[in-house]
Amino acid sequence: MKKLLEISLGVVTSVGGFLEVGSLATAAQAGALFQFQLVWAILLGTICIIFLVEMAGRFAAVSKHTIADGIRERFGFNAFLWPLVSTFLVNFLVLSAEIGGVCIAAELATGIGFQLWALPVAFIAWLLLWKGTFGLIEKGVSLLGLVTLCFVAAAVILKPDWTRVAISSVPSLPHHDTATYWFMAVSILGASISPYLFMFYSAGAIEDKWDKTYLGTNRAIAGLGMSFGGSISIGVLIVATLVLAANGITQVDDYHQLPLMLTPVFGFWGFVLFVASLGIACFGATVEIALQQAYLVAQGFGWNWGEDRKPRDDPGFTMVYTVTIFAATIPIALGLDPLKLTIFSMALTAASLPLTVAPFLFLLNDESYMGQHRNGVISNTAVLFVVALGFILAVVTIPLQILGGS
Amino acid sequence: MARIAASFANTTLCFLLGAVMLAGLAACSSSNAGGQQARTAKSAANSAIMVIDSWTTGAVPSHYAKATLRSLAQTLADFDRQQQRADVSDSSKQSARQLMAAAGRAEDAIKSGNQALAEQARQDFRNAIAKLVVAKPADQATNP
Repeated sequence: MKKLLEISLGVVTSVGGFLEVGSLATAAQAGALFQFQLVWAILLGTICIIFLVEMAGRFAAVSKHTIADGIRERFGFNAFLWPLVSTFLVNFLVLSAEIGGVCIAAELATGIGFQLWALPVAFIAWLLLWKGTFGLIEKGVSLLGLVTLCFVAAAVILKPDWTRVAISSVPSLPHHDTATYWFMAVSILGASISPYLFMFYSAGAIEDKWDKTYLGTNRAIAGLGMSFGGSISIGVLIVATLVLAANGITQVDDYHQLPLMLTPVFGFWGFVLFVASLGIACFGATVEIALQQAYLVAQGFGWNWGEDRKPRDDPGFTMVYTVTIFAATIPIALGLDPLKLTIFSMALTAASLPLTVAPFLFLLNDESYMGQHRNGVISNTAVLFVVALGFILAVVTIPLQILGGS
Repeated sequence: MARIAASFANTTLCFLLGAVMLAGLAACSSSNAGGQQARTAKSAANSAIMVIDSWTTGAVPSHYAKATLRSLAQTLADFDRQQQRADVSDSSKQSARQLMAAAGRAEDAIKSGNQALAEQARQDFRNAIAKLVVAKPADQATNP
């Protein structure tokens, strides 16, 4: 019964924590311009993240190491420096985009310009990290994130042609704007397969003191939580198709256009639900990414780390999230368009994937870490596929950003 | 093993740095084709119609409607500037001007809370969009 409760809570928090500014913006843009045609990209990204999250959790539960910790220990600090630097930089951009998302929500709610919200948002997030516990951050913020299920509700109410949605789960060539189509696909994959997601998950497993008895829980959370989470992104894409595209809004270049997705379905509550979804989802992601930056650096340099410790017990860890979170407000406070930053950072996330995913192949097959819980053929095939996909994305992101990026 | 990993990481990081630099350059440049501009303008005009609809039914607050229309008006003003400079038909230039005027009227309507003026702005948008769509094939005929 206790395990069932843990699984339920884990699944619910995964669902609540899935949507963030990247998945929301990319799915909305894709739905507006290509209707259902990019459903396959969300599905593919979700399947990839299910495998990676399951492996990250299994690695933590069996070896008692986080992924970052494992990379440093297995390959040495010099080799670890590359994924450390690239992940830190990409996470920084994503963190800035997430802070931008919260600021947009605050602007939509109050009418006060988003730039002015950057510092207050960062301060509240920092305060939560300073005073809060891992459980509060993991479960509290993610449970509030369940508000994002309003997109699934809206998609069902709008009665889409489910046959067309199902057909779109198979990749197809675009009829127009080929470069933009592929750039959107890359951005959706970047938003879905975020390294911070699986790295945070492995650090969370250590924080929650997982052991081998949690392997079933881990599989259930990874499979069910991420699948339901992916369905929220598909919900956003369906709503964008049936509301924005249907009303002739094919270009979502301005974040002001986004709340219009829910108002035809829920009226004024649609506006409220959109603002709440954006604010909570992005705030949750802000806190998690800031924490992930601290995990990454502290684990890389072998410092004390742990969100449940007092800040004086892990000063380096605390300093990293403090500096990162306030530095990430700078682009937003200077007025950089959060929507453009989001799309840009999602494409770069996709390009950085090989560095963070390739080590899975070695770590998850290393008997000294995994014992009898090493990867099977299916998991190894999945990792190889994500690595290959990551390489392709790394190569194509550059020309696609030039030709199809907005 | 560590050397292979470092070499792999090095290659990938080079890709990444290249991507960052080129993507940054791409973000700075704004090469926008004529068709793309018209589509962006049409999309902005349709967004403005949706904002007016939502505002008149009370589905969005006035501050949001005002800010959104101001932002969309900026997009339409950019389009108008580009159209007036471009080698396009007079009807295209006229419809761009009408879109910009409709955006101004819609903003005024929200500011003053005047629903009748908002309805007129919505109609102006619809007329201008129709002309924009009609104008496109003619432009292609005169400017192949």
